[in-house]
Amino acid sequence: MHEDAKPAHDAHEVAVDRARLGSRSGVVTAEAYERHAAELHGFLRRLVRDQEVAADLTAETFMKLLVEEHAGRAPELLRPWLFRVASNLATSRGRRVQVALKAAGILRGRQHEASAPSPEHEVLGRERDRDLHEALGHLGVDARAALLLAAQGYDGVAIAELTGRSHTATRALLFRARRRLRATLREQAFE
Amino acid sequence: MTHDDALDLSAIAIDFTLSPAERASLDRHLATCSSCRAEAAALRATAVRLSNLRPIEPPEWVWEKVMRPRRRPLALSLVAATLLLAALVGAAIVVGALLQDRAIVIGPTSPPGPVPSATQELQASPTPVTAVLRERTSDIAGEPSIFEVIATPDGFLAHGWFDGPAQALMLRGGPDGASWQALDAQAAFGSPLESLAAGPNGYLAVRGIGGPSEDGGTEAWLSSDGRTWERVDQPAWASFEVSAPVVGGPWGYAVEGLLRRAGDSVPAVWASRDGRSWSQMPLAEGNGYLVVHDAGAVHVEHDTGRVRETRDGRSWTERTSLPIAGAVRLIALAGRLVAVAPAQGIFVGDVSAGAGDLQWQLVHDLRGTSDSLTFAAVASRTNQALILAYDLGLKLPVAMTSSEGLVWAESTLGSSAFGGGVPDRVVGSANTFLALGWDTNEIGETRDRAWVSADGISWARAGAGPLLPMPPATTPSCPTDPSLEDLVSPTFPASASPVCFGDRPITLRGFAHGCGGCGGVTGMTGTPAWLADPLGYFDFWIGPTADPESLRLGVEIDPASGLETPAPGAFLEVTGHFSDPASADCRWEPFAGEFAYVPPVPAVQAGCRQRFVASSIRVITAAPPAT
Repeated sequence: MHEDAKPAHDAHEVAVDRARLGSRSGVVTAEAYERHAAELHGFLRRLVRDQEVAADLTAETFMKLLVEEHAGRAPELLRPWLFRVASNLATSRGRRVQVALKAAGILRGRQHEASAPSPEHEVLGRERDRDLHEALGHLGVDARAALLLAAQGYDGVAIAELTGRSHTATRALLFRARRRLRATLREQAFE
Repeated sequence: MTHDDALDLSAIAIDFTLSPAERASLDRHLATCSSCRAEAAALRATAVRLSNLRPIEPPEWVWEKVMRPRRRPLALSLVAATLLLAALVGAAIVVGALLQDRAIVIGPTSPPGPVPSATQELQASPTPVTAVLRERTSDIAGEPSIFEVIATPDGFLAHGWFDGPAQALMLRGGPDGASWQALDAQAAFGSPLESLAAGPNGYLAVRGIGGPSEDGGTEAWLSSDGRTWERVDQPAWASFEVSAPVVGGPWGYAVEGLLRRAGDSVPAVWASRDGRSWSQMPLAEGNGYLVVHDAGAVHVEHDTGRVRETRDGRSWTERTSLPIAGAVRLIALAGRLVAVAPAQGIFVGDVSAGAGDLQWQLVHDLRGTSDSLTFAAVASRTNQALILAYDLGLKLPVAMTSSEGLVWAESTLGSSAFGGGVPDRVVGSANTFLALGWDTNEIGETRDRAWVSADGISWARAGAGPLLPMPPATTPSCPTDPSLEDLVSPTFPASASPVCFGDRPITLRGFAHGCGGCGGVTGMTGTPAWLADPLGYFDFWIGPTADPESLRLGVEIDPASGLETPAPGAFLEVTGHFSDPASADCRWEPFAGEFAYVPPVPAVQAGCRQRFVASSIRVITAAPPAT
């Protein structure tokens, strides 16, 4: 597996994780949540483009980590593991999960609905990012996932490993996605 | 290397290390192509913007759900299971309906075959896979975006997408381009097409494929009527990635792309008389341009002007090279080959002489002249060719027409033609030229619109259909005494500012923000430069807080005002206005010597009117010293 492309971050992450590997108490999941929940949720929010589904997938990702930790199999490199699981959840069976979660969310939404705009709504509504958010929506979920993983600091080789694609397929997916994103942004600039 | 190749490699270089050969080839191209350098910089800038997107804290219940005890009360589990089951059953019904509507008979799949190293004939397997495009019964959600339009015997066929998730769309247009019918290409193909061409007995469509279980490649579909499509079930397509539009004509089809090999790929041209049996010709030197004429297909290499032709669809023979290298657009017209080269001119070769010399002639010379034309698009139909161009001096669209390719008539069009710009997509049917221009409303909001012409010179908006005209602007809710918070609110669109406030002075207080990483150039140049920036940057920004992530308003400074850009972090009082008088002169124009469209002037000017221009800046509290 490739190291995370953010070396300083990784060095700390690996040291902490090694000390916790034997844990079955949930402490690794708690620490991982503290450190990575916001970036993972931001990644999923932009990937699935649905507030409820992104939150559910974030929860599901950490639930999987908790299961692994309880089984004594906490991954050594947490961040790539989290992004791989989240990416797979969102893309491999994303459509089915989204339909199911949307229905389930009708009930739960009443429980969690906030009266004021949520922080993510505010972030996504910022004028300078809105065009980017909209342009990402013009991409397929696979292409969007690859671009958002790149935005998290992973290079092409690491993205190929994280998403289970060949090097060649990842290269084609990424360069097409970048060019399409750019073309969409350019079109939006004229609207 | 074509411009497209250069941009592909520029994009690849963001995520992968290029091979030394790729790096050298890209560097050579970028050294001589300013627009490619600009676009490469823009690709990198977009990547930087993506990486600057902020994390988003999940709702608190996410953590509660993670740590919730796994064993739940039976009643709750039953409720949850019922909900999930209902949702999944619903999903299954939706998927089932889609599959039924798609009417596809799935045949056996074959593993990809070996990639040949020399010109080779590729046979299709006999397994039929068909899809029927049905008329859309529901409205198109969101504005359709049209990639390509081709002429058909009874009108036009266009493809593109609509809605955020990129739903594939196909449109059938009547003979005059006035009436359009939307077809559900998403149900048939599953994703937007890459290209479409008309051939001897119908149409060829290609679609890029790829995904977690696939390895890229292309699907090709054939149709005799544009409605019922049959997939060309040829394993070799799985190793071929289309990189340029498919071209077609009475002779057959040709397309350029990449042949993928293990860890490598080489450019190649595929050609076919019928769309089923294809031959492939690997290109040693690089990509180029294709055209199909009455008796064969011609390929012109970008880097060298080298010309090769096939007449039997299997073998390619060398023809006289074009006397120039670089970007061209090719037209087949009356037994001649027309090569339109920006900043060079129009070259005409004779393909009717069989295997003889093409006898290239330069019939319209732009070299060393004061003629400041930039080319945008070319099209041809029986006995007439059309070039859409832009006169940088007059700042007006130009239509160049010819009946035999040797003599060209140049007509300057009105400033409102095509909605105020010059389109880069035009196509000619038997009676009508159709260009994909724009429609704008009174505040400069713009969307795609088909424009039609019988002669290539007099143009009019096409009629209604899926390409609907721009709706009138809605009246915004205007604050009477706007605060900075009002102006940066996501609920107050930028287009509302000039409508609400005209050019009256507005005074705002807030913190100055710098650009924080702005830069790059584009393939367009804006005038006046201080106001019409194609990159969309401002001299500085002003926000209600000093938080660099806060909502903020861009501020322009007219150099003639003598005002200075304030230091980031300073607390300011800025008086300024929207609808600056200079907005009336705003233009975005391509650089001479490039194939490029010209964006519609009303949209560019509307963008300028939305820019807040400072007339005075008072620093109330200086910026804290930099640490």
